[in-house]
Amino acid sequence: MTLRLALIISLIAGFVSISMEIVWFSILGYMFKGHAFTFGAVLSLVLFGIAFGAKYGYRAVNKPGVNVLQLISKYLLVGGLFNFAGFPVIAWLMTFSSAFAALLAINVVVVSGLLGCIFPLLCHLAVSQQEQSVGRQTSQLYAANIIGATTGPLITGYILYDLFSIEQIITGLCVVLLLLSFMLRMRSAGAAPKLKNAAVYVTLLVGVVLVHNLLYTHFLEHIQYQSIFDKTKVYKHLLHNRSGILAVDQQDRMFGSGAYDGAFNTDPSEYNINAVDRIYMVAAMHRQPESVLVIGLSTGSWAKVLANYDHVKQMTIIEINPGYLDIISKYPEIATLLTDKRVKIIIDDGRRWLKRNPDQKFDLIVMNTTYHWRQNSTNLLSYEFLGMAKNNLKPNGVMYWNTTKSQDVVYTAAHVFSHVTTYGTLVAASDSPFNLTEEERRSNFMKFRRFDEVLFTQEKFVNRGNQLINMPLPELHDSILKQDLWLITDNNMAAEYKADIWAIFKNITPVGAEKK
Amino acid sequence: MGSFKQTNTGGFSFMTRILSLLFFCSGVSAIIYQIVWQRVLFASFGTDIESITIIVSVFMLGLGLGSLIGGAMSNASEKKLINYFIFFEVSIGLFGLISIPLIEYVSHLTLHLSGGWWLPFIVFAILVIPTFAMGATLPVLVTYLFKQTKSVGNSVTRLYYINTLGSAIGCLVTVGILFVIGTRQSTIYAAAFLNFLIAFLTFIYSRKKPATV
Repeated sequence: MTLRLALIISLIAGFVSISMEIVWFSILGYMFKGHAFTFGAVLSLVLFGIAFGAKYGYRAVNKPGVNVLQLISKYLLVGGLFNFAGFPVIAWLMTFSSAFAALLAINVVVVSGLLGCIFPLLCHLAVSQQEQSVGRQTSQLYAANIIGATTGPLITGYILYDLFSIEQIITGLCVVLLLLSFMLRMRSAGAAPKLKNAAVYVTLLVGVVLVHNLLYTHFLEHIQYQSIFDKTKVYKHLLHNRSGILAVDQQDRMFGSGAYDGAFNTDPSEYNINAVDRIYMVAAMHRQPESVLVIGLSTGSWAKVLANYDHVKQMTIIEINPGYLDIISKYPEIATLLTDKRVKIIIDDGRRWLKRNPDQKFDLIVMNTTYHWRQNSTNLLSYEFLGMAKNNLKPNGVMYWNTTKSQDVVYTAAHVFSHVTTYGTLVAASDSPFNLTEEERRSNFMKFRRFDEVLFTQEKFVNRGNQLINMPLPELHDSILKQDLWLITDNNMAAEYKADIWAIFKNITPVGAEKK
Repeated sequence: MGSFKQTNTGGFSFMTRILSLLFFCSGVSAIIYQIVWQRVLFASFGTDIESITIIVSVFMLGLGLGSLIGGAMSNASEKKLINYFIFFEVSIGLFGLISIPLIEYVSHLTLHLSGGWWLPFIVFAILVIPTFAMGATLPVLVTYLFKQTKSVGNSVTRLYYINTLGSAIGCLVTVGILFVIGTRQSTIYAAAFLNFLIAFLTFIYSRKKPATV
């Protein structure tokens, strides 16, 4: 084999491998709802696969009579087909028992193993045995492989993910591998007659393209619901883009990359599926919030409630995934948010936006943050982030965000703010006390409207309104600081990696950790 | 250790086996850096898909270019190849020690540039030293090993396997142990310690090894 051909194959193999890796992160991340351990676990599976693939693939070369080019062709073929068919078949099996999920991990190891042996085999075939050429030619093949891998995030992660669904991308990658396999098969000596080979490959290619729709029907629902999947769990809306996968179920609940993200509802009384009453409680926390910053739009239900609040004159919303806007546009009540002149929606990373806009000040900052155990949640929960956000508050400003039941979040809030209270799963923090009188609260609650009518004077909502007006907001600052909890910092990532695990070993303090 | 003896078992000398073990550790430390640096870069420059794409791509581009540099250096003598390896490991370790404050400082300095076309260049400037060094180690060691085994496939496979296996295990150790018991900074210290240990042991063994195998 010429070095040039080997370089091309190495480049394509690098691109396909990293593209598959991106897909695997999406699929397994979806199943584990973006848990902090997912990235490390999946990367580890991939690397184990590559390592053992390289080792055992090379052993196969040393067997007598082996045609290396045919061997590479075979690995590419089997890898492509396993990747294409393995995931939907396993996902379907998971609807019978969640235990089949373990097969997903095995599939990742097998496919990455089949592709992992390509690089050493190419070196075996194409690198000259002359001492002065070994390092240079190996480095060129290695560089080609890595440059192929470099284009993976750019082409697949950035461009293809915005244009195609996951199953279409998997199908496309399978087609690329089949074509490459076919090309090598044709070039290898001792292959079966060209026509026979061509017929087999054409059949496979046509088959892959034709069956992909059927094979991947309800694929993500199978991954998410597993053994509790039934026809009522079929998604109502599904949106793929480069920022993730958004799905809405039949109950109008949103799932972002597999994790519950809220529901489309602003009714705090009977149909309170998303516990939306929690956002109405801002009326008991701040006397007159005119300017509001919302970090994380999701379904837009919370932002819509705030837009319906007469006090609010201006609202800035920072959302990282533009796909939410497309889904919100399907819900007329919430969609009005998108055209509301008081509302400014910015697509950006919340933390970065705060860093770049230290001079923008708000009466109220609201974050319906995602689960504390998800990857990179530290960026929005840490001591450093709260300090940054506090700088963006006006005097008497209030910050109100979701703890997702993590007491460490409340504890961290108490290190940054002088006053802390909670309602439901949310924590509110401020440097001013939460001391609105009942009259002030009542006056504020009467400023919420829904469909242009004052909400809490309507018969359906009067009782709920009274409950919220009289809801106690206890001062927790001093008492929470006395508890044995984690101060979440950028450095210790306690919400993601520590709190849940160390809760099992309560009496042991980890070395080098910033636990107070 | 003091009674080092040149042996040849199954085609690989004792020195080769030691070097493989050290390259395994090099794989562990490399993946630790990759995981921690990505986290710090995401926190500094954003977790939006644009930043993630640029950070991951630039990291790999650095490895690829480093590999070409390693290839260009690989015509050197055995002794020089080992010295290059030591140099790369020390460079990675030294950079590792200052990496987190450096990334945070650069991100602060370039706060208003990093949203646009500048970001790839900023990330490249930050990661150029360690990724070049990481990428260069494989071709340098492959050449070194080839001088003993006279088999390209054997040398590449062995080093590729051992280094990737190190990374696979390093990945689990990072998220399953180091992040659980320590911090980002202490995890980086562990990786830097490995780099210095690798460099030290390689130096010791290279001094005991005869000039020609």
